[in-house]
Amino acid sequence: MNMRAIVTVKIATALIFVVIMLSAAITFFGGYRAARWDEQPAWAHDLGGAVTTKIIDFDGDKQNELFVQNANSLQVFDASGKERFTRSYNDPMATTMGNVGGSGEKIVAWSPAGVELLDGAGKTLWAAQPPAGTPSRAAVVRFGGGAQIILGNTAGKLMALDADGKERWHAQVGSGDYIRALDEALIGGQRYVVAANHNGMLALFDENGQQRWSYNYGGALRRMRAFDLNGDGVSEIVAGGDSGQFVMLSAAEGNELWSKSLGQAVTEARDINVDGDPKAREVVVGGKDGGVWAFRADGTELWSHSVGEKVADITGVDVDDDGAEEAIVGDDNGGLVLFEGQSGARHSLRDVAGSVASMDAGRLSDSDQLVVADGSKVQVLGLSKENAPLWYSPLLAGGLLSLVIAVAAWFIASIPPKPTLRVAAEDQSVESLQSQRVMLHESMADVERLRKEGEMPEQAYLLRLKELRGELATTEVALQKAGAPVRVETFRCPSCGGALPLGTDRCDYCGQVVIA
Amino acid sequence: MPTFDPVYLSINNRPRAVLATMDELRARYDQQKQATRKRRWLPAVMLLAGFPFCMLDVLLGYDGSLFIIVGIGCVLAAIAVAWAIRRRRIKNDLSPDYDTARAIINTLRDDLDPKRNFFGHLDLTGAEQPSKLFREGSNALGLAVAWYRDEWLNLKTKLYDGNMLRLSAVGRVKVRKGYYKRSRVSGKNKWKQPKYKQLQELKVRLSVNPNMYDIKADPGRYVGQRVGQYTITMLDLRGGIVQLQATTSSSQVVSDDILGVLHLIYTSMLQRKVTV
Repeated sequence: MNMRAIVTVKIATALIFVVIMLSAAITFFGGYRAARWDEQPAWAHDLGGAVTTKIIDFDGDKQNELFVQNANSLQVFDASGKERFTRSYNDPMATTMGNVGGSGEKIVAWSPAGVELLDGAGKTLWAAQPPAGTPSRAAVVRFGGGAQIILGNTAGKLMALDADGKERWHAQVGSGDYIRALDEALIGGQRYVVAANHNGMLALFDENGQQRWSYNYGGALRRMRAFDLNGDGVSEIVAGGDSGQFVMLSAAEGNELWSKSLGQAVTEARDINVDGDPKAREVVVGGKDGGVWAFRADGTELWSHSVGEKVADITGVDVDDDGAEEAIVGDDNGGLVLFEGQSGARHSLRDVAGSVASMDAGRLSDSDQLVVADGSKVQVLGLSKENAPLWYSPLLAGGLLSLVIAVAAWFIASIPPKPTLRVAAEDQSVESLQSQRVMLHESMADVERLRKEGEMPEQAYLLRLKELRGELATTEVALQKAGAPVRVETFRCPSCGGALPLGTDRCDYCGQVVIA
Repeated sequence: MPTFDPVYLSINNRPRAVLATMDELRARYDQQKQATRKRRWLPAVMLLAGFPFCMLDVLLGYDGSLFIIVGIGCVLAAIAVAWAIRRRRIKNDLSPDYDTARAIINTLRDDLDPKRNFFGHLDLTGAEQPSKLFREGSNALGLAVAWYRDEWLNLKTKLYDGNMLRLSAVGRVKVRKGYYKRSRVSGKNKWKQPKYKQLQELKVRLSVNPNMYDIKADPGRYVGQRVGQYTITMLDLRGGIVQLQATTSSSQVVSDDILGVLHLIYTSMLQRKVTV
């Protein structure tokens, strides 16, 4: 076995050792378990331009229904995908759902024609024509004195209606830009409404329309939501916009708890219990360039990832029943990505045909389901997680990889070395070496003659002479080793190493002054 | 100009030892060629073996991608094996001059003084080297031209009959270097390949043992005579030494041509003395 083969075998052995140790460590100590996240289509309906989807139980029968709204209509489907009813309106329209009147979830539909309250079967409970302006956003807030419907228009005005559709109060947010978000906020068990306009002005109102505080985000606002993340009875209000600044405010005073610059416009924020702690929830934020972050209520980042395009919507559901919800992110390119709750590990789900417009997740039927609305249809996907069998382990992969390394190493090591350029058929006896010395002198004389006859230029002469003198020096050394009396005729230039005849005081090859 | 694998053989040994070394080298070349030829399919197989592993992971759909790692390992191993084979592969054959030199040594092996060696070298490393350059200039078109003198075979030995033989085969190569020329029609720059012109020269110097031979020939009779591919251009018989020079425009000489010249010297120019 030659040196190269030995080195190859040594490297291969070291590689195999590293691979086996690494795969064993991952298998036995790394808690590794591969899994497959599946989504099976349950049903789908063609519905263009859906902007809101919500899995909700309207009639209190513990069986959820699906609410879908697009620009000028709303529809409700039962769990099997059967359409319960459709109502059409003039656009623009805004809808919201809530327990108005105390007998289950109702639908509030606000269009230029007025406000309608519908039950889950599509029956109109009442209709009103309040002077609320052009619809922008609507919300149902369960104040202490009863539920109110809050309408926010395109001029930044708020109007509150009571459960019978009677006007309660008016308010103004900012200086006239359209209402971008409305949400219910909690302070010490009392409910309030927080409103934000597109200009970035936020304000909190009580059930009489009294403003408690206001906050200026300082730029165009895209999302504002209120969650009680740490379960202390006081909501945290999160806001993000084009500046890329993501802020969290306390609902009590409107003071900033923390803020982070995410480097891209904030397009979505949802509360999801990603760490599995039932006492607190976390907020998952999506950005315009596909960034996704999970933060605790105190601003600690749990994980961050990215998806292919602008984050269009985020929803959470505990698919694997480990107590932590998985965050599902839909992007503008139709990509659906699931981030495992605790680890944030990324798993791509199937893409939908167009840009994701709205998503919701929950138990529409028996299993966890995801509702996705894209530009042309609404589809329901069943979600499940399947753990890989035991044989699908890093140890098996490490074994196979080691086998591949061993095969490659064996083939490389067994290739014979390439024959060398210089081969010697030389007898190392004194007699032979002396004859060779004579021969080299003859060759040098030949070279000298050729130079004198003009057959060899100076440079070629020096190169050839250097070769021959080198060989002569080697022969002289061999002669000395063989114990033959030899008069050394050459020495090596200390600068370039070329062999020179004794008595030379300047190197022929490098020009260095040499004193032998 | 055909390219051959370079080899330099330094000769200072008995003919049989030299022949054994040459045969061993030839065998190593053959063995190397066979070894790389036998293994050349392996990188492709390893590369192809990687795909089923990757496909298996795609089909199973688990997030571990373990078999994809094995597949990548196969691809990397295939690259390593292909690189090793490429590095150790012998691209070209040995020059035919190698066989020519072997045939000369083999033919002369029994004519040597039993206690004497062959000295010299067989240099098949190619002519275009700075140490072999003997002239540079330009031709009538102003293009760079270089002349090389490549003494590819040099042998010296004392023969059984006491004569000292010095044999030297030299290739003289004229190279018009490659250059870019602009086309008159399309205006594009086109690469013009280098042009080679080759001449083979044979120099024989035989110091005749005066106890054994008389030199009988008339030099004028032999100059211009063709021996195989060679034409004798110079013959000097003065001072008991036969000095002969022959040339051929053929780029390749065979052993018979060189041995033919030696045969001519022995049969036509020397006369064995009658011993009483």
